[in-house]
Amino acid sequence: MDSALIPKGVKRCPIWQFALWIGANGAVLAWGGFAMLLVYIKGLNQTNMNNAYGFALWIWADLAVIALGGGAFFTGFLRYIVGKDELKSIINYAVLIGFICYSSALMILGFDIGQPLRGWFIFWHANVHSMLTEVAFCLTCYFGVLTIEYIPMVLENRKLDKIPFFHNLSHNMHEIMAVFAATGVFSVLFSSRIPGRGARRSVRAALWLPGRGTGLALDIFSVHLVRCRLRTVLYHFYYQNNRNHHTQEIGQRQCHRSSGQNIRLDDIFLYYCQDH
Amino acid sequence: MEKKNAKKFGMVIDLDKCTGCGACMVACYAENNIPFREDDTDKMLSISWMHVYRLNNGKPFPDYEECFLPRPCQHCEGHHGHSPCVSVCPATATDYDMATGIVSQIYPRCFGCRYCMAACPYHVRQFNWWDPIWPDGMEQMLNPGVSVRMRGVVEKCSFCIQRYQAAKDQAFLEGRREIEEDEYQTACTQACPAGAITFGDLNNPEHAVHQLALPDPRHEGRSNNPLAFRLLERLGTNPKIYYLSSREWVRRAGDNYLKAEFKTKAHS
Repeated sequence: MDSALIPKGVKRCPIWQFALWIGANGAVLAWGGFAMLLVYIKGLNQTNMNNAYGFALWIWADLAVIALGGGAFFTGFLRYIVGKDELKSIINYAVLIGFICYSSALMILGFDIGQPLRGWFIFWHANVHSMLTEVAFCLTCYFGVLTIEYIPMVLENRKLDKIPFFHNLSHNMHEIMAVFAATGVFSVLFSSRIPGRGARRSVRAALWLPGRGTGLALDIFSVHLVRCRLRTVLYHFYYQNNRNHHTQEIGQRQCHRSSGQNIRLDDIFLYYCQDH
Repeated sequence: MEKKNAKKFGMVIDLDKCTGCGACMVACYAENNIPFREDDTDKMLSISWMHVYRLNNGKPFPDYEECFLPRPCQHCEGHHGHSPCVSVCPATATDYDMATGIVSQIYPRCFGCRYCMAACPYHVRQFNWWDPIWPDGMEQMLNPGVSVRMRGVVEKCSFCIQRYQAAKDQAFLEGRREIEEDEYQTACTQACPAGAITFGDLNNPEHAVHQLALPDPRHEGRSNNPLAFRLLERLGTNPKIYYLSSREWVRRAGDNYLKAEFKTKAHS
């Protein structure tokens, strides 16, 4: 029934393996969901924070994922504006990572405040001198841009693509994606300049450097990491079942690589599937 | 921009007179409906707008000395009203009033980000980790002029601004534009049995607080009284609480002086 959604050559893993992975991930998610409910229902007194330590360690995670998410814009900038075609294979992953990071950062901010229902006051009664206002506006803008960038990836679904409206929308959006990438990278690069004075320079440097300098590297690393994890799982399904065909393909691509052609993410994946 | 005839309410606390009795804290609790819990022993979680600290000179007996230091909100002016908490509040839930010099807190607008608590160098801002639960019957004793705060918002000393509003209303009804010095006094000032706290308008030379603090407007309110000091004055927060002490070690305890650094004004 769902064979059309499964890539060619890939088979389902055993149910116990599927349940194990889903269970492990689900347990972590359930833990987070339970903590979120506790904070919402009982309040921030559940967090063990106090008047002397009014911020918890998750702020560290919050800032880290913002830095990681910034790589999406820089990758988009290099791909669409500078024209680095080598990043073609990673741009979708970078956007996805950025989307997850910024939505997570906003979500963390959402349950880190004492009165979540008043969270919109930060936009309604905005204090232009506050760096937190700046952060909230920037995060929301980035999230909006990434949502727009991410929409074509959803619309590329083969079922959705059959609907003419979505088909035309996704194909036309691709053509103007450079505008969104430029908007994103412009807002990331220059947003801190708008009210930036004094102490904010140091904060800007602290966010800018990891966000833009290493965001791209982190994105590549994340994709690399995910591929590594997938390698062992997919090895049997992807390689063993198609040994002869892919051995030939690997050979061909290695020739391309040695001849200076662009390395694709699939090449990296196939490289991992080889016997070392 | 400071308005013409603007007031600048401030306080002088004579540490030589303070006995550390805590009457100011109790009066503050009663006046401002400050919540407390059944077990309020964890002071990291409790709320007190006026807190009395106990200092000592770090020397062994018989040279041991100690001093009590009451600490309300310092109502910092900073540079042109940019006090640390006001600058960082993302929702403008706290404001510096140029007409009175009071740093206000708007409870229904605060959404509890606690950024102001991180910015305040005096730890005067405290968070409502719980909703207030009053003992049976105590609701009848709450001050109707002060709103109680809900869980998840930050609160702090307001210089009993409800008393200022009441005094202004009274003056208006009597056809006056200005209020007298004794018409607006904070609860802690009135409760102090030793008379250690003096409150009034720092801009008005007739007020006792001005005569004690001798603020220099050309140097952001720095006191010309050699016995006076302000807490962490060198941060540039420009606070409006002045402390008086005849003891050198107490004055030095008000800021982070290096051991080899110059002595404070009284002995220089």
